[in-house]
Amino acid sequence: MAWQILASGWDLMDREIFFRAGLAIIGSAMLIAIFAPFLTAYAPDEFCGMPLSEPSSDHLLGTNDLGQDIFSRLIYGTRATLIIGFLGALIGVATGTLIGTVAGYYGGRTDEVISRFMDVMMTIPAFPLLLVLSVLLSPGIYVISLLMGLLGGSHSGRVIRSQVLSIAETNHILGSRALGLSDAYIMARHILPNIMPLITVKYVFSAQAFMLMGVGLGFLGIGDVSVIDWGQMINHAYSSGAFALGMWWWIGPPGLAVTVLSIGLAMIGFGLEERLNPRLSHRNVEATA
Amino acid sequence: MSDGLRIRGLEVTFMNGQEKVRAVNSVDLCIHSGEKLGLIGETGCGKTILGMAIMRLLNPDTLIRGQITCNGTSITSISEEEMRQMRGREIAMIIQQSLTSLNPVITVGRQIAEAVELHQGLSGREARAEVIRLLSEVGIPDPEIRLDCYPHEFSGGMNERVMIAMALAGNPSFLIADEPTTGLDTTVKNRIISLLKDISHERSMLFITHDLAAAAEICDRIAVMYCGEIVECATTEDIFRAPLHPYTQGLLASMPQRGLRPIRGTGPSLAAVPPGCRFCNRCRESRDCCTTEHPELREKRKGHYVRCFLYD
Amino acid sequence: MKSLRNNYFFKRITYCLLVFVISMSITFAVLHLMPGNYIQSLLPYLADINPEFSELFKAKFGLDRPIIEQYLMYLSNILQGNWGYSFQYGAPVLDVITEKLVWTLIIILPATILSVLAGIAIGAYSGWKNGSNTDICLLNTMVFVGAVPSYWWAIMAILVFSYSLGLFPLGGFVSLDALFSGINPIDVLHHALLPILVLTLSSIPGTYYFMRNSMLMTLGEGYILTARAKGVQERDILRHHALKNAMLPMITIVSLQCAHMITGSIFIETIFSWPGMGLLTFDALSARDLPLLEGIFLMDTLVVIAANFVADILYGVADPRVRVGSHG
Repeated sequence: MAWQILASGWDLMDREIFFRAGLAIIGSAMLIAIFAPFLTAYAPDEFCGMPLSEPSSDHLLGTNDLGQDIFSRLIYGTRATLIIGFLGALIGVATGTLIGTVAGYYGGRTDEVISRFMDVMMTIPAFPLLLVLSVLLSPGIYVISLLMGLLGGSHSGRVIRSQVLSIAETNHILGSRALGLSDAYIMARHILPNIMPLITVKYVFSAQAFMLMGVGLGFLGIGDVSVIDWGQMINHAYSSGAFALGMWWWIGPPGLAVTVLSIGLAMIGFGLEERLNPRLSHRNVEATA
Repeated sequence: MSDGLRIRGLEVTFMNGQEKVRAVNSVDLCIHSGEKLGLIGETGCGKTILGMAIMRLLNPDTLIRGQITCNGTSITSISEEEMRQMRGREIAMIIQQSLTSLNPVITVGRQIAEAVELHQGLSGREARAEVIRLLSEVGIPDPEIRLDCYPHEFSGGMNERVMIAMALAGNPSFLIADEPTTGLDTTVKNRIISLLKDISHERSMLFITHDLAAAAEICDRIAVMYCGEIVECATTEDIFRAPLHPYTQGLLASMPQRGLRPIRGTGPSLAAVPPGCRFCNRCRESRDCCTTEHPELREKRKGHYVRCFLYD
Repeated sequence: MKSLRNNYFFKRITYCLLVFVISMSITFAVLHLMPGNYIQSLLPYLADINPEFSELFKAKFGLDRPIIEQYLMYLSNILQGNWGYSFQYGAPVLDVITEKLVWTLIIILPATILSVLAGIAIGAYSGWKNGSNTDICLLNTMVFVGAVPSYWWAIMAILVFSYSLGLFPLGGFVSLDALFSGINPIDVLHHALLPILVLTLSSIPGTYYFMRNSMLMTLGEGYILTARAKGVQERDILRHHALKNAMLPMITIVSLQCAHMITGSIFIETIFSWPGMGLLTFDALSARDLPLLEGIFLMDTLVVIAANFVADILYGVADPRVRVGSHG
């Protein structure tokens, strides 16, 4: 009986509500990132309190081992996380769209070559490669975003290629070619708008993945030390023995923050996907054969 | 064993989001024991859905109204479990598109054996022997070897025979054959038709197809379906010699043997059915009343029913 | 038919070689692109710890020869199993990695098995009951669970179970007693439990999602309808028809997930101080031990290639359409 109430409650929590909640979360995060100075009492690098003190009214999340206010660092850290996520996803999806569209549109030899390339890119483990490259380049957040985007472009590239392949054969496109319109024009003006929904969904999920990876990389000690990064906060906590001391106010918040953002993006992504691809939605029980 | 199949006022409505699509509208049909009825119509007219409705194989969301009785049992009012026990045993359906209707990762023999074990209660070696018997009954050569083959190793015609064998496993008194000859080439088609003739000697059959000639070979009576409704129903001879409904006449004229003249225009979509006669936009003989009033199915001659204002 | 399949295998093997060669080329390039003549400055470090290795390094990799020769020597070295020397440990890279790989496998293999069983079972059930409240509930739950990064689960697990509740150790693979009484398997298991659980939990949503989709696709196929028309019971349809077909694509998915876990275990191992390849990577990063990091990268590539290959073979065995071919 209770199970039924709970389950029907879930059903009420429609994808639509999820979607809006997700937007609210990400929207708030963006606002927090922009208005960080107004939301915090201290500068994030300021040595403003007793080291390792617990949360109090002065310091909402206590202080770290250098006496810096954790709450401020958390707020300011939103910026790096969002930048890595959104910029990385932008580069990734742009790359994927470019090679996927070219492959799907031209077909034949071009498609074969590009597809092989994408296959190889997807087989080579991107994360370990990223680690190797980071030793070589000692990258800041922008270069990290670039690397992640380029390495991850093939994922979106594959899916986009499939869709473009099916669109490219439609009468609409064939007609445009017959009219003598240039390939670049057709790809930009006719094909691109049709795959926009797919691109958007891919962008949201990529942003989620890259955001998580970015914080993860910060945790591993890769990243710009001059930039405040949630991952680096966790790393700092880890190497200061905060785990053993159970200092949850230092270890917890950065991880929690990125988790919340990740959930927000996931809700947006799934909400969009439901709207755009009803075949996989939970409502459709009809057999398609 | 003697009542046959009776359908009264059958309506099948699909809920497509907000839209309601009535795929089958107020159908009355009667197939006596041992009789073979052909159900003719173009793709999308609702004939397959009618067949599935009889078997209660439609999506549980679908709204079904009306009465269907088979050998005295009211199909429309029994429980799902009771219906499941009837399937394959009293009524069996030969599903269309045999290649996609067979499980690709299980051998043909195993799939037939499943039906044999279920309906005849056999198992192991006895089941295997029965599968071999069924395979040879439907005309598959070397059944002892073939039963270990997979569907993709068979041709279209052989797969169709396998579907028929599966339907026969429970020795049903009533068969529904849904487009068994579609997609097969002529020689294979003819062989399947003669196979169907052989197996339907003691059984009643509903033969669903768009191929009039095939139906003519097997069926005693033919019902013509258009846009979810029966528009004409008579003996095969009467349909061919003296078709009454303009659609039936058009169908006959479009047969290769009779000149291959297509019917002009296209039928209405089932989601947006016009008031009045559903065929009138393609009908040569349409009058004013056809667009506004809906004709009923009436018995014009003995045993010959037609739904048309020409004959009212 | 044989020639067709042999042809296919040949293509696959060529492809695997190609990927590995590309990976090796990347590592070679990075090694030589390092600013400030990295290798020359690497050698003194190495010489400090183990002068013998420093000499071997120089000789085997031909550091004073032209670049093309160096490249070819590098390739042949790697293929022979000589992957360079780690200056952190002063030992051959491949040896260091294989030693730690075993520990990673100790937590990965159980986690893979558990998450596959759970993911497939829940995913199949969800797909089968698709549209029902249970399905929607499960799907939404999995969206949440899947959005949580693995390091968060690890952090929470340690804070809650190890620190607050004191049920599990705070990390490592053995407790201090081992110094005296030797390594006790039960103790190791105790330490391994949380990492295994966290790994499992982070992998279930992926498997679930794919299995559910596979099940949905399968349920739309014609033979499910045929089985119903035959009067087969629902649970038999599920077992004999739906599951058999829905599981096929999972072969590839599961292999790739396993490979992914191995290459991505760094966060969990680091947080739990589990001495596997992940922790090795973390230490190597901190010390900027490039030869070791590159070795790990190459090993990861091999793991992914192997997983793909195994998946192909298994698929060829399981799917009769591939195995048998058509006789028409």
